[in-house]
Amino acid sequence: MVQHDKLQQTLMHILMIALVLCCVLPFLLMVMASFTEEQTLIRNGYSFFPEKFSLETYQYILRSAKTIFRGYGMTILVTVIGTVSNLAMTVLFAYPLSRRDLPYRNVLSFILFFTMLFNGGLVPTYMMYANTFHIKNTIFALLIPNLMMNAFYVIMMRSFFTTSIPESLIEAAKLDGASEMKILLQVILPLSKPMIVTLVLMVGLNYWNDWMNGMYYVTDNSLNTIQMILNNMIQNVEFLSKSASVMGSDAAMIKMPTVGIRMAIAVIAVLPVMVIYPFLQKYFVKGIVVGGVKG
Amino acid sequence: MKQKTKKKAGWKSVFRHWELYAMMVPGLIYLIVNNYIPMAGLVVAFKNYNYKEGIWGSAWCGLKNFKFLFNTRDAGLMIRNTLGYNLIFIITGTVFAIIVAIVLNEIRASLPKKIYQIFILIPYLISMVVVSYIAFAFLSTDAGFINKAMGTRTNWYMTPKYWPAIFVIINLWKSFGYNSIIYYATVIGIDSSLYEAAVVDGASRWQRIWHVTLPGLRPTIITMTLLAIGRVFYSDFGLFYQVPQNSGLLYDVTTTIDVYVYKGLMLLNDVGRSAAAGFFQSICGFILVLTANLVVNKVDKDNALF
Amino acid sequence: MKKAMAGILAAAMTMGTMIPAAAVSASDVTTVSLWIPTLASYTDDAVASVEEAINAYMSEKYGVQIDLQYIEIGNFEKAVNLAMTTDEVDVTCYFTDDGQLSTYVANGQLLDITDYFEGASDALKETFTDAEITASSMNGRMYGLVRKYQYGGNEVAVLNKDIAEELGIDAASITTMDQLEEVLYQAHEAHPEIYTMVPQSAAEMTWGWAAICDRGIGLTGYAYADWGTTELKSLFETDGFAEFCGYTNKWYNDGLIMADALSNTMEGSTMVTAGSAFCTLHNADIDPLDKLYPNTVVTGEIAPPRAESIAIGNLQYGISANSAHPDESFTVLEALYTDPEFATLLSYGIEGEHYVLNDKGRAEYPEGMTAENEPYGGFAATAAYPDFLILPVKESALYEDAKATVEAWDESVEVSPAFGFFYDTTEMTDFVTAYMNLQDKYMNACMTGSVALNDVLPQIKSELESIGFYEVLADTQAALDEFLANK
Repeated sequence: MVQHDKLQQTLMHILMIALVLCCVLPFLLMVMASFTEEQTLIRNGYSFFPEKFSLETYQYILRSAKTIFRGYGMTILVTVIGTVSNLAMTVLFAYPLSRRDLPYRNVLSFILFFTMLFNGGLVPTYMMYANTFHIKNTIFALLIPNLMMNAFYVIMMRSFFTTSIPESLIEAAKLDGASEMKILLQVILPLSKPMIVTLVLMVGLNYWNDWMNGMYYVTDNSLNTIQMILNNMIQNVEFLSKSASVMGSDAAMIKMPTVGIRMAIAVIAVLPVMVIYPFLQKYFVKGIVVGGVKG
Repeated sequence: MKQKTKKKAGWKSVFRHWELYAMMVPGLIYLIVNNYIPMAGLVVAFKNYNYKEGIWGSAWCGLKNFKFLFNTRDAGLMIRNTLGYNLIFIITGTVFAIIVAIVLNEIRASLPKKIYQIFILIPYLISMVVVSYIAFAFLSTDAGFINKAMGTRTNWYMTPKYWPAIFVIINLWKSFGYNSIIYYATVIGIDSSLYEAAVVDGASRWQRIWHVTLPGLRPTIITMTLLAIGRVFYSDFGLFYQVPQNSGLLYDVTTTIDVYVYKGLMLLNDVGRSAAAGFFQSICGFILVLTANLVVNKVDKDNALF
Repeated sequence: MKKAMAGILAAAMTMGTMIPAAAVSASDVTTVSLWIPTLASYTDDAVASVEEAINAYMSEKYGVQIDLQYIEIGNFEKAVNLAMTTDEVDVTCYFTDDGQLSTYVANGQLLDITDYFEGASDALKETFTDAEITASSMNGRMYGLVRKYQYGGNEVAVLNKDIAEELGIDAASITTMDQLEEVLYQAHEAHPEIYTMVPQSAAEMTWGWAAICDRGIGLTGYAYADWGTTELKSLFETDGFAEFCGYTNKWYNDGLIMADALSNTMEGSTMVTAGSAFCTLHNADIDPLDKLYPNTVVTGEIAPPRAESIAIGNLQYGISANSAHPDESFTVLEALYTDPEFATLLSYGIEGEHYVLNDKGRAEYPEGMTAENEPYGGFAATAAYPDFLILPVKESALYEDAKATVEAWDESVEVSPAFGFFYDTTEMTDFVTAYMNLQDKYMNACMTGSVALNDVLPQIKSELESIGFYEVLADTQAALDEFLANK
């Protein structure tokens, strides 16, 4: 029996280790590709052990360091401001919704839920933001459209509040004469760390990986984020493959970044996420658990 | 509306909660601005959109913009692909995530368990653009890792029959970590006395999983599936467009509604038809969620979404 | 609850009238925005300094100012189409190489400039040939001005110089596909470790249609004909396409063409230059290719210079229908083609900073600058600007007088007999989308030789039939015949 159990444990570890390798190795292959000399890449193909190492791609990136690092800076700025404002709005909206004694709670929930199913589409949204609010080529363009609040996260947050915060705590605080804001800040939030960290990661990831807002609302290079730089490359390659003939022979003068360089920029774009994530992971799991289930 | 107010809550009660309502003001303003005002623009789905005339000035054209969703050769194809892939994704995703969740739960050593949890979430963090690069590194004919390692010269980007499997694998790869953590969490949450009772009854490990764990996962499975059903008419554009490198020969297996609309819009810049597609996706998702929820309500009232 | 929802929706609808905000201009000088696509890298500082120089000049001479908007070329169509829903865009570039002009006109995106053009200066009117005016007109009304550029092109191949020399290949003597084939096999035998042949760009085997057939007849995306004929066919049924694909398929099967051609994302010329490929097909015209690509030699003409229906003015400049300042916009549009000082500032940047004039009066990069580090980027991507004929000639050019050279070239080009014919497809959007999908599915696959045309032709034909292609083609043919009879 014990022997049998040991075998089972070993098999399960083997399975999990295999899965972990499946998750990590593809990423590693990309990293190795970014360090492989271009000609070796073409001749020998992608490999975990490239024949010839080269830092050429990263040297290229360093040469355009100004663009890349400014992009980095922009991404970080947008991610930080965006995540903080999103979290603030989400918590402020989710908390009242979690209160069973709030009149019209269902109407408000439906107003929220409805936005998960219907949206107005790109053109009306664009016209409103560009014409009425004039957010084009401002940092607000990267922060506000579509990313600042997400019904799904509000619902996650609300579920967390309803399931994990005992109502008696709120009642007790009320008896002490605390205002609602005070209850939220001093009683509820300290207990909500796992959920908040989870949302920080998820919202932060959305801001970090976003290039759509940039593509639609930004034409000013100084506002380019790292994902926009990556996306521009892809779009340009796609254009070249479709209708570059309109540019005549000039199209040929502009060198498209090689595969290695594209890989290197992708690595740079993903790296910070990989570095920060393990620190948040502990809460992340907890947060997904409570918020995600009853979403 | 006034009557309802009196009956249910009364202004006094509303007023008493003014602080709570005040908290919601920023969020409400955002929802109105970002979501509800543009929704008025959905009327362009029924209009022959003219740039000069704008949304309100353009002429009505009835259901003409919806015709391409039903009436063309590609219509069947894109609806089949969109629905088909989503269904396979839901089934494979759920089954696989549950298996991983149970395995995680059965593993006793706590440090490896934590490490596994960290690593299986990594693919979830990577954007589709980066996934498309990774896929290319594996699948390229001349230089790809798979062909090099196996000594073959399979031309992946030209052979449609491989792609349904490739999409399923990539989708699983990207999402299983997140889903299994959700299920794992539910498994931990199952009342331990149930397990103890099963052990007392002499149930084997498999019997315990079958009779205790799986029933315990049921609410989560239902919720997750209901949420996924609301989105079966949508597809991850990056997965179906960027990952196959938009290779022509693969169109029969890669064209989903979103991909078709994107390509049509690129070429014809047709605001009306893309609005029509979005409207169709929303309405279908809405109806499906309501229906599925109704069914769940009949069968298992506690687990319905609303 | 339903009522509440309805109320909220109604409120949202009334709030969402989305009336364009009134343009507030503090100064008397109107600012006109000018949207230009670019492939070159540029810095905001450089663009701002050029904009300042332009405005100093323009406000004095015309009383207008320019707001320069450069957009990455890959995003350009999306960005400008969105922006045209509002009044942000005044003067803009647009592409018409896939027959987009009819879409723009049908969508009401472009201002009808016929009357402006009639009242414009002779200098502007003399700039354009009748052919060019037809290319930017639709149903007798004019919607833009075409970019002044040589028509069409011929087909050549670019070979790696080292290998060509090693094998003793006389590139200039290669003038047919058969001769090219011979050297390809020779190179493949000598250097099996590199690609013998790669597509010109990404998955496109060649940009030049001179070797294949006449396309874009009637400014549509679906009507083709063999060179010199006016019998409309599907692309896949033209003799030229069959012949071209016959070669490439043979090369592909013999391992000459890169196996990854369909998912390729690299430039052919870059690979030839770097020595990882031996040959790529290339379209050529008056610009010297071997000067453009170091370490290469260019073959003789594989196909003579030809211009498809759609090749004339495949890039144009026009005014957005939502522009708040149409008069001033036309002033700017006119100046783009008639004011060399403005055009040069815009295209090359500031003299001494972004380019210099050498003692021969020709333009070149300032000392130490190349396409990669020049901050304004106009010099590298001059083809995107309206009229390079009024700019100082570049040092790299093979000619003295751009205008005369282009005119001589245009004279020598075989222009499609269907040129000037326009077929209205605005009511057939579903068909056009379906067709374009079908063509995308098979075109590059056949042209790169990845699949044999004969294997897929029956399937293509049945798919064409199922989208109603042949009926549309017959209607187009009838209209074309009528056009030709009246001509």
